[in-house]
Amino acid sequence: MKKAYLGVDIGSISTKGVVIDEGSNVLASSYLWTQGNPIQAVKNVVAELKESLPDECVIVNSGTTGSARKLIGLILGSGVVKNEITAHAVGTLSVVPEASTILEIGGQDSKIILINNGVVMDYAMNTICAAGTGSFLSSQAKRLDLELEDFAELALSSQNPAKIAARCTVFAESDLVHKAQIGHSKADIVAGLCRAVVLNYLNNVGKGKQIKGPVVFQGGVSKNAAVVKEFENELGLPVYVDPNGHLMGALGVAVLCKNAQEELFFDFNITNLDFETRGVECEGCPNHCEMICVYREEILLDAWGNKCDTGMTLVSNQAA
Amino acid sequence: MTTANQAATGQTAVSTAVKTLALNPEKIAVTPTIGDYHILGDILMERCLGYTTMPCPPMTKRTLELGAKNSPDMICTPFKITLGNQIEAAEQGANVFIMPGAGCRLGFYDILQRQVLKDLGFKVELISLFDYVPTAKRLFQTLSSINPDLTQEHFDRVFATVVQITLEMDKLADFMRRNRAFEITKGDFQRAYQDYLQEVIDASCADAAADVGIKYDKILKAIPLDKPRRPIRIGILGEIYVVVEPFSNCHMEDWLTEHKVEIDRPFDLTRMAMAINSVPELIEKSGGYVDYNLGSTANEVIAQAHSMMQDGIDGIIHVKPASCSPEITAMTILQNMSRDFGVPVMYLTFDTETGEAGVHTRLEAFLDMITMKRQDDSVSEVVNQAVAEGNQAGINQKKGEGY
Repeated sequence: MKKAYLGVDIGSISTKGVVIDEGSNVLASSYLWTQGNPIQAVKNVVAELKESLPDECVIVNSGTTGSARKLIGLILGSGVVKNEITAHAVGTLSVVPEASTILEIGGQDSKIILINNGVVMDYAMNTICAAGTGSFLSSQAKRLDLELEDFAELALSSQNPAKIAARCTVFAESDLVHKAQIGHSKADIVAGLCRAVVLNYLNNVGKGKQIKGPVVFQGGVSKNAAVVKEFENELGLPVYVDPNGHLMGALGVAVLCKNAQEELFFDFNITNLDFETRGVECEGCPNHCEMICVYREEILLDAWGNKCDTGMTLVSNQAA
Repeated sequence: MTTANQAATGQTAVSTAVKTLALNPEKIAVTPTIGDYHILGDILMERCLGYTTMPCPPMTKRTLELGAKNSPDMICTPFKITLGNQIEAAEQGANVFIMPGAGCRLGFYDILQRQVLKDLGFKVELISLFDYVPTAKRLFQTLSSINPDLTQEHFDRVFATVVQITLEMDKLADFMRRNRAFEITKGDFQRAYQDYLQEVIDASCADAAADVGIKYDKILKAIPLDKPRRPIRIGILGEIYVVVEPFSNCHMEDWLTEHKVEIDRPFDLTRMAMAINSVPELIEKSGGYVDYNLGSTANEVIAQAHSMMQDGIDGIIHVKPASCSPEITAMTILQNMSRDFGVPVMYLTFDTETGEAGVHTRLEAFLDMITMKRQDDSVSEVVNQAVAEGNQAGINQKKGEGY
């Protein structure tokens, strides 16, 4: 038997899974769309991992990160449930130990992590703005009738990127429409958008932070070569994109699992079990907490969202 | 505390040491919630004006919705929350509200709120306590213009009681924040502090309030603790309302307490009152980072951050409501200080959203980060182990070309 550790990163857009051995070698990995259904996405990821995992490997602990980490952590019976920032820092440093700055742009959020001698010194995360995230780029690609995959190539072909307001998605979008209507070419507009994403990121997330090399760029948007080029231009530094950049969160949480020195039974059978979540509004007080109850085969596993014990009592009584 | 119901049955809680006023059951006053400070407003209303007081209805999602719906969208968050408080209280029969009427935009809340409440059809009286001049003299003018029978002597005694209670409350709460995470029996501190509030509101004069304070100081200090020699210590700074009112900051202090953090939050009403009249001293204490008045209490924030950083704090969380301009100015200065002292500062902006998950993610990451930093001043065990094994396994072969 060979001990293995599973890390799962459930983001708003994609779900990533990694299995590592005791030497942090990646034994299997999987990358699928979340499609608004994190439970199904994780079942698919786990099924894929099972396919490619050597028979002698036994998963002795699992961990989750990403926005659905709590829900999926419960379903997988995970020993580690960690926020994305810590997971990404640990994951990236296990691959690029000398990294000083991690830039990350995901589907729904973006963050910057500053590292000194392998220790996270500072980080920032976008708070209330979606400009400069992957979902903004993909919605604009749709508007321009482009496949995301063609986006970067078209942008790189531009000689004269259009100037697109980077402050806010709403302004950027109206600016984009305006530029298209007065006759800028699609390539110039797309290149302008990539630039707008970079400027927005540096102004909002990276403001006031000293970005030093080596710089690692990851998250879904790092697959866009035009954005990478804009970052290099703006920072005046080489920007490194790891081919496995999208797996860093999952890898990080797998490493944390391995370090946790705790062994928990992991059951591949979850792919065959029926999990269901139900939203309940607690009527216990005027707060009306929106609670989420998670059921496995009709049995209540856990519930959250309540601010006091009233909600929990209410839900367990209903279940009984 | 005297509530509308109690007043109707003739029971009042005001003690006899200060000449008590018969409470007018027609006037039902509510102080919008800000931490536990509403008890101060209640005392002023009962003892200076003879108004009946009612506790503000507890804050819920509905409070926020009502406040946001009836406010200009771009106004700062405390306006929305206090307006929600007022609407809910008015629905339950309150007809007098008090607002400070001093400070930054906060000083003008009452003007707009008066108009909004009138437009909504409520017949209410809105008292602007300081009427744009935050001094005791102005407070007396405001209150005596409403109650012509209020004498300077009587006001002075009530005011001294209020000041005494504020000082004691803030002192006890500060001790609680520093030690609550390490109590052996969960809830000891909160229980004792709530008992204190219950008891102190009935203190008839400043001396009586001081006695209650001394009693509870002993009780709080006797609570058994299991505190490590050097616990993780996090400072909280920023705009006073969001700092003080747990509902507006997603109960951040409770989260930190559960995660065994000592909270250094010197910002309270005592400090705020002092800050307003001592900008030159605050500038002196800012270590050269600022040399002019930033407005509102931003100078206090800078001075406090400077002393915390010199004191070797692990990290600072700066909080503000959306669009708070004095604090936006303070943030840029904090960034410079953070860089010079090597103390991480996290900035959180709160509006009327109720999603706690995002705040908890950031708090957890912040705490992870400073815990890792702490583990060995410059080297983190977790990361280094990962790095060593990563190197050994050679999973980073693919890199290199990029540099």
